[in-house]
Amino acid sequence: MSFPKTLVNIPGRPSADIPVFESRVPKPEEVAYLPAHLLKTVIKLGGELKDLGAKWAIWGDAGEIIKGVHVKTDHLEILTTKDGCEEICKLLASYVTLPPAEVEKKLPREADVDGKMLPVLIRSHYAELTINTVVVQVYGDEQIKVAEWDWGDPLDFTPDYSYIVDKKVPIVPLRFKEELDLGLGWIDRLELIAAALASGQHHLAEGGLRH
Amino acid sequence: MSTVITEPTVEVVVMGLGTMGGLVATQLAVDGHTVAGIDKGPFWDYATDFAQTKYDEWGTTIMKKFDHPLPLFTTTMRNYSTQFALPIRRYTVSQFPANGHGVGGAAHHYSGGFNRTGPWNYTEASSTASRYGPNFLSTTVPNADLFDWPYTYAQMEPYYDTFEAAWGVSGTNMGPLVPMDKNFPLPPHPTTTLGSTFQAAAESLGYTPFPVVSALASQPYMNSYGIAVNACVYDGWCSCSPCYPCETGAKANTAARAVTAGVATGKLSLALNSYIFRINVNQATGQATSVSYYDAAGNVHVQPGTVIFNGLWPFNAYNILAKSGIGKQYNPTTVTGALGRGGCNNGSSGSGRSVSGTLPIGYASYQAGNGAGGGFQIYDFADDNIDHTGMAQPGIGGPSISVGSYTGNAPSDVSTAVGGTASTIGSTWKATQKNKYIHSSTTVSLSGSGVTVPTTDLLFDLDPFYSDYYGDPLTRFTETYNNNSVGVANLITPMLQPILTKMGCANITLGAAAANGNNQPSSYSIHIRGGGRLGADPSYSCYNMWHQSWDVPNVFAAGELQNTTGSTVTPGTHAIGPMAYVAVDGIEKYLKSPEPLV
Repeated sequence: MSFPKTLVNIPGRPSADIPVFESRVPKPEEVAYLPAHLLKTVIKLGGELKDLGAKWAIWGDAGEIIKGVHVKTDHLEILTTKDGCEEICKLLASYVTLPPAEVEKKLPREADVDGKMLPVLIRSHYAELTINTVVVQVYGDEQIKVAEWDWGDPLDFTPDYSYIVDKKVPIVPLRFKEELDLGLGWIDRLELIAAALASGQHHLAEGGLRH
Repeated sequence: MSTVITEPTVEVVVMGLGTMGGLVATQLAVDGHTVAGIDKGPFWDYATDFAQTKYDEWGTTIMKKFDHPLPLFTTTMRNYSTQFALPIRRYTVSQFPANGHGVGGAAHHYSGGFNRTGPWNYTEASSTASRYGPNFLSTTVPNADLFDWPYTYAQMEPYYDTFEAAWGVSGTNMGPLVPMDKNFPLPPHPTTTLGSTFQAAAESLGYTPFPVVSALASQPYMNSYGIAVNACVYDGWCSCSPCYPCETGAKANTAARAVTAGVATGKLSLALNSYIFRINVNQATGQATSVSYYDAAGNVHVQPGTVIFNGLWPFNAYNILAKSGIGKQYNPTTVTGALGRGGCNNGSSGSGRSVSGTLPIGYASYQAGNGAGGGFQIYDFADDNIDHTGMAQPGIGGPSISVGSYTGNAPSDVSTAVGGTASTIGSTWKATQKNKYIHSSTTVSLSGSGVTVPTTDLLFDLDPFYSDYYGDPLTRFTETYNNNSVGVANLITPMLQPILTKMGCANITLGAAAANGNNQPSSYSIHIRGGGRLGADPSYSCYNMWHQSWDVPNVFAAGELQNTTGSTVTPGTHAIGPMAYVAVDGIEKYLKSPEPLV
C-alpha cells in the first residue's frame, strides 16, 4: 500500500478528494495457507492424539504455516519423543506405512556456519503414516548433528497451541524453530519466521508513522 | 475519452468483496468456479497497511482515512416522504458511522461484537400472531410491514457453523435460549472484573449468562480455508465508533480470513479501485449478462458472467438494482413493489428506557482491550423470552443485555474527549475527563427496547436531485421511528433493576418511562436492513430462500439488505455471515440447473 494517496482524476469530471490506494494483491503462489487435505489431516490428528500421554506437536513446514509463516509443504511432520512415536503408531495403526525404527539421514539443505557450508544430519525414532494420501512423518527424540560435530540433545520443547477449526492442536513454537534456524545459518527461514512473529504484534512502540 | 474494456467471461461475477462478497467469491473459487471479484476500494493487507499507520487517532477516527470516501458517493436521508432529503457529506461520530471500503469492507473497522440471530427472529411475524393474536402488533404499529424469513433458525444452523469456522468466532455458546449444536471454535476472551461481577449477579438471579461473543480471535487460529490467524493483542485501537482496523489480523474480515485463499486457487481474479455502476440485463431473455464498472482512470470495463452476485452494502446494493431496472420499485402509497421496501435501522428504534447505577471498581474498568470481549451477556429478556401478554402498550422483541466488555479505545480517545465548550471547560469538566481515562467508578446502564419493526412508509428510492461522482442518482432513505419499543421498554427495564442491585451498584436510577413519538432519527445505523428482502412471495420480497432474484434469476445477493426483520441483536455481520453460504448453495444449484430455484 502506498501513502500518500493519489486522487481520482477523470477527464471531463470535476476533481474530487477520492483516494486511490495502490493495492498489492498477493499472487496465488505467494499466499500462505494450509491446503485443504493437509488441514483436514491436522484436524484429524488433533482429535485422535488429544489424550496422548507423550509430548507431541505439529512441526516442520506445516507447523510454521499454522503459525503464519509464508512457506509451502505437501506433507505433515510431528515432533515427539521415542515413546510418543510408538504410541502414535499404536493409536493410528491402520495408517502406519513405515513402522517405527531408528533412522539417520542427511538433510537436503546444508548448514551455513560462518560462510562455510556443512552437511546436516538428523537421527530419530522415525515412522510414517499415510492418512487420506497425506504423508505424516513422525520424529521421536530427534537429534541434530552438523558435519562431524557431536550429536545434540534430543529436541525438547514446550508446545504452543493453535485452534485448528474446531480442534486445539499443539504446535512446535516458532521461537524454537527460530533458534534452530539461527544455529544452522538458515537466515532466509529466520526472516520468514520473524515476519510471521511481527505480524502478530503491536507496533506502536516502534514509532508508528502518521499519515 | 474513456475506453470500454471487455473482460474475459467468468462463471460468477461478485460485486463487492466485503463480508458477503468476499466469502461468496472465496467459497466459489475453492469449489472450482471461475470468479471475478470487483470492489471500489483496495486490497488491505493488515501486516503492511495498518501496522504503522493506524495509530493516527485523528486521521483514523475522525477523517476515516481507511473508510469509504464520501465524495465518491453518499446517500440522502429524510424522515418522511414530504421532506426534502439532504445528502450526508461528512462522517460524524455516532451520527454517520463510516462505511467499508476495499476487500474486507466494513468488517475492518467494526468492534467485532457478535451474536447469532435467535430462532424467534426468523419467525417474528407468525410467532407474534400465534402467541398474542393477529392484532397484537397493529394496535401500536398499524402500518407494520413484517414478514417471516423464508427459512428458519434450524435450517440456518449448519450455515452458522460453516461461517463461524471461517470467521474464527470467540465465545462459548449463547446459552439455552439460542440452541447450538456445538460451541464457537475459539474460547472467550479473558473476563473483565465488571463482566464477572455481572455474571455472578445474573446467575444468582436465575439467569443464564454467557461470555460476550466476539469476532476477534482470542487465540491463535487456523480457519477452515487454512489461513493462519494471529490472536488479539488487546492494545485498544479497536472499537467500532472510532473505526480502527486491526494490525494483527485478529479482527475477522474477508481480507484476513478468506479472499487470499480464493486467490490461491487461481480461479478468483480481483478488480480493485473499481466502481460498479450497472448490472446489464438482456431484456429479451430476462437474464443478466454482465456488470459494468469504472476503474480509477475512468475507463469503463464490462465483466460478463453466467451469474451475478450482489454483495454490496445495503444502500449500494439497492442502488445498483434500481439503476439497472431489476425489480419493481416500492410505492408506499399503494404498498406495491418490493424493491426498496422494508428498509429500517437495526439496533436503534427510537424510544427506550434505561436503568443505571455506579460501581466503584476503579482501574478494573477497561478503556483499552479490544472492541468486543471480556463481558458477559444474558438473553433471558431478548426476543420473545419474556411473556408480552397484557402489556400496557403492545410491542414485540426484547433486549440482549451485555455488561463488562472492553471498550477498545485508544489512549487519548478523541471520541470520548468531547463535551467541553469555552464556557464549560474548567475544573469540573477536567474532573469528568479524568474519570474517562483513570476510572474511579463505572456507570452501568441497562436498557430495555424492542426490535425495530419495518413499516410501510419506510423506503429506499433513487434521489431525483443528488448524484454520485459519476452522475448517477444517489440512494434516498426515508426512515421514521415507530412506537414498537415503547411498551417493551416500559415492561422490561424495571425488571433489570435487581441486576444492578445484586451487582452492588450505588445511585441506581430508573429512567423516565418511554413515550410515544418522542424522537426521530437524524442519522442512520451501520446496520440498515431491508430494501431488498428475502421472502416466500415476490409481492413483498426481492429474493427467494436461495437468495435468487425473483425478477432476474441469474442475479443473487446476500447481506443486510435482505434481512426481513429487525432483530434483538445489533451485530449485523454475524446475522448475515451464514447468508453468504446459503447464496453459494443457491448459485451452485443454479449453475447446474439454470432456472428459478423456487
